[in-house]
Amino acid sequence: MNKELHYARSLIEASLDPLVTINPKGKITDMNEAMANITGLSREKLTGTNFLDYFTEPQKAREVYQEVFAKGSVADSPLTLRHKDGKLTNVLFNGSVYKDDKGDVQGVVVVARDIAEQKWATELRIANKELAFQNDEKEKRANELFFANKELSFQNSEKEKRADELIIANKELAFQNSEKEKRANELIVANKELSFQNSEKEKRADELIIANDELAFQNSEKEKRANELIIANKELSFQNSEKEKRADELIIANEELAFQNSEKEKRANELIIANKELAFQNTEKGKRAAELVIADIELDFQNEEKEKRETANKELEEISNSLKSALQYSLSLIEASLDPLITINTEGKIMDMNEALVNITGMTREELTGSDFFDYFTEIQMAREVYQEVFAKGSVADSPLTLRHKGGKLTDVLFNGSVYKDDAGNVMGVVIVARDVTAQKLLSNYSLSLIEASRDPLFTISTEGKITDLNEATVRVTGESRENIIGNDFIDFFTEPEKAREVYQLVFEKGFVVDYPLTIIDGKLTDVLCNGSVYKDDRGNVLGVVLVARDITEQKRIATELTEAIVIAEMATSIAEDAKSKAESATLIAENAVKAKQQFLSNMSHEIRTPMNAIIGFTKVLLKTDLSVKQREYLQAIKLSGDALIVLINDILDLAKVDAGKMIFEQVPFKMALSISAMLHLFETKIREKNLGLVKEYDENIPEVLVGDPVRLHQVILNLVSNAVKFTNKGKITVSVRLISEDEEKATIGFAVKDTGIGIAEIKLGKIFENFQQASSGTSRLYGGTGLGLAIVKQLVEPQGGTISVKSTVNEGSTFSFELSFLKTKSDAELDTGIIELDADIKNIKVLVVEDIPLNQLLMKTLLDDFGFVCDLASNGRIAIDKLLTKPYDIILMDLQMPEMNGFEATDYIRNNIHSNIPIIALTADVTTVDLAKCKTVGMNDYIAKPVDERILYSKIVGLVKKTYTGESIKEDEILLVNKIKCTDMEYLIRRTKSNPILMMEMISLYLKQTPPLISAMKQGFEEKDWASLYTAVHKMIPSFSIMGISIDFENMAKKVQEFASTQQQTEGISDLVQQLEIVCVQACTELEDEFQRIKNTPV
Amino acid sequence: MTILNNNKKIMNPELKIKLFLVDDDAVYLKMLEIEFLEHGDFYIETYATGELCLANLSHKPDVIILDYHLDGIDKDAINGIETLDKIKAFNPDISVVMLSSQDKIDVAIDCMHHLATDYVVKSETAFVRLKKIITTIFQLKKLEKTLNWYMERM
Repeated sequence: MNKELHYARSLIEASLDPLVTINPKGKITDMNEAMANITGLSREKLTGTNFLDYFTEPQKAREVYQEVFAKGSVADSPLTLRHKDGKLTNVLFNGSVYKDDKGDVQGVVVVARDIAEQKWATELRIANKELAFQNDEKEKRANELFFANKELSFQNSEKEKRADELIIANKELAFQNSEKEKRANELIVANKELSFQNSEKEKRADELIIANDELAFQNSEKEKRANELIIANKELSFQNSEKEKRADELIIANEELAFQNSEKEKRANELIIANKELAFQNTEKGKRAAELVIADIELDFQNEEKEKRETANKELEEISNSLKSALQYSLSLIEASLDPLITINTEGKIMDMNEALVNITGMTREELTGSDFFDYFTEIQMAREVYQEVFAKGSVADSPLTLRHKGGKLTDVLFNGSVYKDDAGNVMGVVIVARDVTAQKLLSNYSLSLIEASRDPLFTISTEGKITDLNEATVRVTGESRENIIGNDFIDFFTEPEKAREVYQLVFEKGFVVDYPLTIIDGKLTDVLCNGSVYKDDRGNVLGVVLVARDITEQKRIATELTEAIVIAEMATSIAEDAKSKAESATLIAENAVKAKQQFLSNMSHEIRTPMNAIIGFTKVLLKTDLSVKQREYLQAIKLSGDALIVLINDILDLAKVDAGKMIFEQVPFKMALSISAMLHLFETKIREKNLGLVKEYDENIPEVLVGDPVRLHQVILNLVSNAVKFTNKGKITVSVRLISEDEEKATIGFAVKDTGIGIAEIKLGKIFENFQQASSGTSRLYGGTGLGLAIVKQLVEPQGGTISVKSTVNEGSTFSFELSFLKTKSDAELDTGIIELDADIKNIKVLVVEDIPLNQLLMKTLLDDFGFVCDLASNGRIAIDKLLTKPYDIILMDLQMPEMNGFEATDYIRNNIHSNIPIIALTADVTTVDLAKCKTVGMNDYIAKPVDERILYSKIVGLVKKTYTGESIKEDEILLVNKIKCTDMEYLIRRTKSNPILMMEMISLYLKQTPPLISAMKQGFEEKDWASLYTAVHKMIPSFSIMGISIDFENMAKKVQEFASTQQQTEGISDLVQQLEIVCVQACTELEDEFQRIKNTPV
Repeated sequence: MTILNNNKKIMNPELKIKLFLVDDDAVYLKMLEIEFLEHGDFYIETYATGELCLANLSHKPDVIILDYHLDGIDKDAINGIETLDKIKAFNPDISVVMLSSQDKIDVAIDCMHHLATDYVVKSETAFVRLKKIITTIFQLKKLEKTLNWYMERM
């Protein structure tokens, strides 16, 4: 029994988990070696001290320990133990109370599991092994105890029964003794009779008397002892009932007790038999006195034996009690274990287990007991092998197996087992501890895979500098197999072994090293940065060094490449910048080239037209003189050639204008019917010459006055009709003008020019509107022409929102038709900027021609004389003004480019200084927009391009003069005003949108939506002196000015206001500027609304 | 891989350059849109405020033409520079060209400091300049990509 106790004790001592027993006052009463290690204090110092003093948080420890008392146990409370040197150990605190055999709480048994070891899987494994071993032993004991307990409980009940029987036996014995006494007395009488009767027997009779006396004495003694036995049995019965209450307090030693009890029983039986025998002998005593003496002696001996056994029985009781408390202590330790503990018999059946196994399998103890142990593993065969190994070797450690919960959950365990033997050394079975390593395994797998996943080589080096372990990255980098690397000198793998040695020596000295540069020999000489630290066992002994060698080759390469890339990128950037600046200068050059081209064309027109003007003009003049037939014929040829050349030049210029986006369409009221007939009139001669018919179909429903650009309309019809005339040799030309649709605002008119000429092949129809295209290459040889006419027509029609189409049959004729929309107006357009018929009978008009070139002066004079007008000449603006002041004129024809004072300056002077409203017509060879716009700006009424067409010159002069004459100057002024003040210009928009009406409408509606709030914001900002608002409002207006063709003057005004708003200086005139901006914006809105409506009503 | 995709993008005419136009001046914004639609192969999204532009950055614009004075009409609106900063924070690869009616050196420098690709003054030539700049941006990007491609193989 002491052996068992001692064994339990050594188990406890061997535990690596601190085990402490504490009395209810919190003082340590006992502990194991682990506790001494973890606190660093000797057992003597620990015993009797306050348990709580060894925790970092005594208050928490106290709570836990109070909880144990309150609940009877506590599991896995995390606490921290403090070593006397300050080292802290994190523990999971498991405790349960232990009680004495009366059920009184004697104190607490505490197991403080060191959880620091979980961080170190390997160290944990060692600890596990030890603990598992201890658990094995414990389990073995527990099972033995369990067995013994069962038997003991059975025997106790048996003993009790027997004790009862013994009492009865003793009573009987007492009764028999009293009978014996009676018989002894009878014997004395008999003896007296015998001595009287037999003198020979005297000697023996005396002895018999003494013997009988003695027997009497012994019997009374025996009686007393029987009484004592009764009392003892009663006590035993009481204790047995106590024992029944605590079934688990059992011990193997009870086997002996049972044996002794049975012996006692035997003896009691023997006693009964002896007593019976005694009774028998007593009855026989008379007959066999000698036998009686012997029987008495024997009885005496037996009584002595019985007495001895009583004593032994008592001792046994005591030992049993102390063993029970020891057992209880061990059992609570076993049950407190979180690892499954199992005992298996030699047949592989489970004999006992603890609560942890019950939890892990999900089976009840009853189900588990007696069942096949292997059934609970996923790999039955492996489990069996392990179990057989236990029998073969006596123990097995850390065999990895997997337990299966009845619910299917698997638990990885490390299987530790050892056989247990009975006292005789026979193997009784196996005790198994299956430590749950699921978490540990996970952790360890996780760590391992982390290490393996690392791309940096990892080594562990022993204190001797040998490589003990490494990861896959090391294998990859060194190119050696694991087997070849392990056990080699660490320093051999580096180009500078001395430095490598220094690294790990440094680690041992300092405990770590950071970013130490080394080079690994691996064929490529990989540059690495070494990081390392020592690793220790749980006692703090240095086991070796862990080194991480980070490969920085890539880093170095990237750094170099980066530097190079930066240099190249910088170069590229500078190249790109160069390219950009080149491109910018190229753009500039291109822009300049375009400007130059425009200028060139403008100059060309001037330079070519001026001599052409003279050639054609004088040819005409010459034709009016008396000539011979031949001379007339030659002059006619000169004139025809000149006319053709002028047409060609005009075509080219028109097209250039269209291409440059400079073509502007006016919006003026004109009379459609008059305009058409005047124009057709021009062709009458030619048509008559070719003997063709001209048919005019004019729809009378067309409103009399329409708003549009009559000049361009003329140009279109002129081109079409002249084409028709050109390609028609017989038949007729029909010009029809029809009203297609009309509403309150606009009228859409369809124009068609039909001929009976050569026609156009169908495949050519698509191309005839392209530049320089004629229906066939032979056409120009036969009929002349540049092929520009139709291209110009298209360019004139489409920007106005019109469409042009052609139908043709070869040798039958062609029909060109187009549609245009015109706004309707209520004003009765008296001013006809179109061509007035030549037969208007106005004579004696006084004309002042301002022209510096004598040739042109002469030509103009000749023409005007022919018209019957009075002509006066001035060679520059100044002379013209002088003449104007001295003499009245009806009209001035003003050249633009003159020395001293040019046409613009002169007109400006006339309008602003002389305040004369005299009609002024500009004569210009420079037909670019800038000049035309300028003409209107300075106040000229009209312009005529040189070389001057005499019919156009006449109609313009007559038209303007007639108006002044007929006193309708007020209306003229109105119209002029409208023309002059119109502040918006759709030219930019048309150009940008390529005359797309939808886009134009979108733009205009956006402007109309955006502008009014800006105007009010500007006004409000100015009035409230909220300069920031004023600034932003004006700022927002600026970009739209140029888009809507509002004069740059307003933009500059706005900029001035903006500057004022930001600086608040030069306040002078700002109020005016704001007002002007408001006016122009409001007007722009009105105009744009009209424009919007116009576009909207123009059919696409 | 990246370079291959990009090459593909350059070679594939189907993929238009995605352009964001941001201006609170609706007229000018429309004008720009019209110009870009007519003169180039662009996919265009227009936004009247910086907020809207930022909210739609997920549409992955290649280039953003951004008005400097975005808080002109709505005083509480986010201004051009703030918008620029946020665009750059979202994706520094998006090229942003600033647009302003102010021809001021400090405005231009301010824009450059905030990582604008370029600065263009609203004028008649603005569109030509913008187109030129966009072409340059893509040339530069292409150069960079080519460079990277070669760098990768060096």
